[in-house]
Amino acid sequence: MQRAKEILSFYLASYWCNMKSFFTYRLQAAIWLIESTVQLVMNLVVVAVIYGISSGIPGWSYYQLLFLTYFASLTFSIVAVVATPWRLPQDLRTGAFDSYMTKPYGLLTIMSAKYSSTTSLITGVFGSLVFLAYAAAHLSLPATFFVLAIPAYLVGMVAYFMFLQVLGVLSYVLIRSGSFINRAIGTMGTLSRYPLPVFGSSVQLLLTLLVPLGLAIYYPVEVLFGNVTPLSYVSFMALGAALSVAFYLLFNRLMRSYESGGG
Amino acid sequence: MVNLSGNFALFKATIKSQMAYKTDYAISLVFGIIRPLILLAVWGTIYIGTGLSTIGGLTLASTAAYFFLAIPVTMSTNEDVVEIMQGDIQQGAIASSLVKPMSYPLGVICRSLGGVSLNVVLLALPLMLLSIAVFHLALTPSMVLLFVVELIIGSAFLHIVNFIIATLSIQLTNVYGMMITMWDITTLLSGATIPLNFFPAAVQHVLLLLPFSMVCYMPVMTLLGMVSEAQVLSGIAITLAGTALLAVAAYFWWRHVAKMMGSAGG
Repeated sequence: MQRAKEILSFYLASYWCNMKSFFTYRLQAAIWLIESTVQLVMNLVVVAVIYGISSGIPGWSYYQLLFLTYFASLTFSIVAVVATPWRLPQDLRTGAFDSYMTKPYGLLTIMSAKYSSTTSLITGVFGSLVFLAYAAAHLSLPATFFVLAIPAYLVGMVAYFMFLQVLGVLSYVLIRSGSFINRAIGTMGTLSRYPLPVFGSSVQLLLTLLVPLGLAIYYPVEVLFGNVTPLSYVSFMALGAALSVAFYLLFNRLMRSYESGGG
Repeated sequence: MVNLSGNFALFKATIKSQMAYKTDYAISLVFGIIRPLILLAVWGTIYIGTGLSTIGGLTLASTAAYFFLAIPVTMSTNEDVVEIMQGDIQQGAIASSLVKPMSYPLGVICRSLGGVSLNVVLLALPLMLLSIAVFHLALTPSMVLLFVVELIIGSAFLHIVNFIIATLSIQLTNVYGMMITMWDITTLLSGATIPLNFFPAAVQHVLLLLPFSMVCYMPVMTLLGMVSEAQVLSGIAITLAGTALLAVAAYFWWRHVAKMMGSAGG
């Protein structure tokens, strides 16, 4: 209990420090918030253009696709709030992570404390929630579906978060570059804004079994829309839990092989 | 007097230093193929689901070719002006650059062009040739000539716009957020995200009157043979006029802000 309090206190102090340093440069902060808002609005433009010029993606209404788009945006923002994934390969490469490792906390605690993104919290999370509420208001989703979707979402999110951390370390270990994870996240961002069946069954399988993007975004949305059978629901939960554990173990294994960077 | 040999040396030096990141180029090439495949899957589903042979005047094949060409075209018109100048200001390298007997803004543009040239050779050209072969594009010499002119003008426009943004780093130190915002806006207005044909007619007309269309939409449509020469020439005239106006503004702005420069870095 004492240990948990210590970790929480370290996390909150670091988070508060990040927040303060972000707002020290007020103009910079405002620009970043504008940038994040522009991205949110661009998502709306893309969906509006698709449904303005065509009947859209078969089986998906305008508001459903809008909901999926902002659900994806929310998920990516939450991941960035917990720990911006491209910061790890960057700090491993420059050696900045070495000094963090001397702190008496676990790697994930340190990363969450150091790599939280304030912009993602303010505009990414809250902005996405505003658009999600707007889309949800037109979809009349039953409360029971929300109750079912939240655990599926949390499990999927953990699996996806751990996958990104593994990808971050692999980016450094294999190619000593942060460019790969940046581009991979960009690609996953585009993929996640559309229903997975659009990409064919093999990609859907890949984005479910290996890259848990589907578990974090697409399937929880399908649960909300009432399109998932109880058996599939349990399978997604079990798969999400298994992948979370597997990626957690792999992440720790990879980090143990890390010696030192920079120089 | 412009120091041509000095600026050419900067251009070559940038190419050499960028060559150190070979893996990054390979990664960019792979993702440069993945992105249009994703968009093709999405729009393919929309075309098939809607049951229409054309959307916004584009068939599915033309839309696919558009997405595959938009990536190399955007890579060719892109620039690094903001990152270069902001880096110089943050590290204090601008102080030593300013005492050299050469124009600093021109030097920044030459360094940026070094990076762009490498992008064109290592990324854009292979992707473009691949797209031309896959989609059996019948190119005429006049189309290729217009395309090259459009790329140069589109790139010049982006260089000037971003030079103005980069000069703001003299006072703000960090303009990375502004650069990304500009990039987001450019990708949307230039047709890099969605072909301009897909926008409502009124919006489309406005977007075609902006120089941004020369950054992606017009060069791609020229290669696809889907715009008339008159449209291309009017687009070139609009972008040239806009670029010239911005260049004059950038010249006077630079003379003004250069006086405010302090020393930073260490």
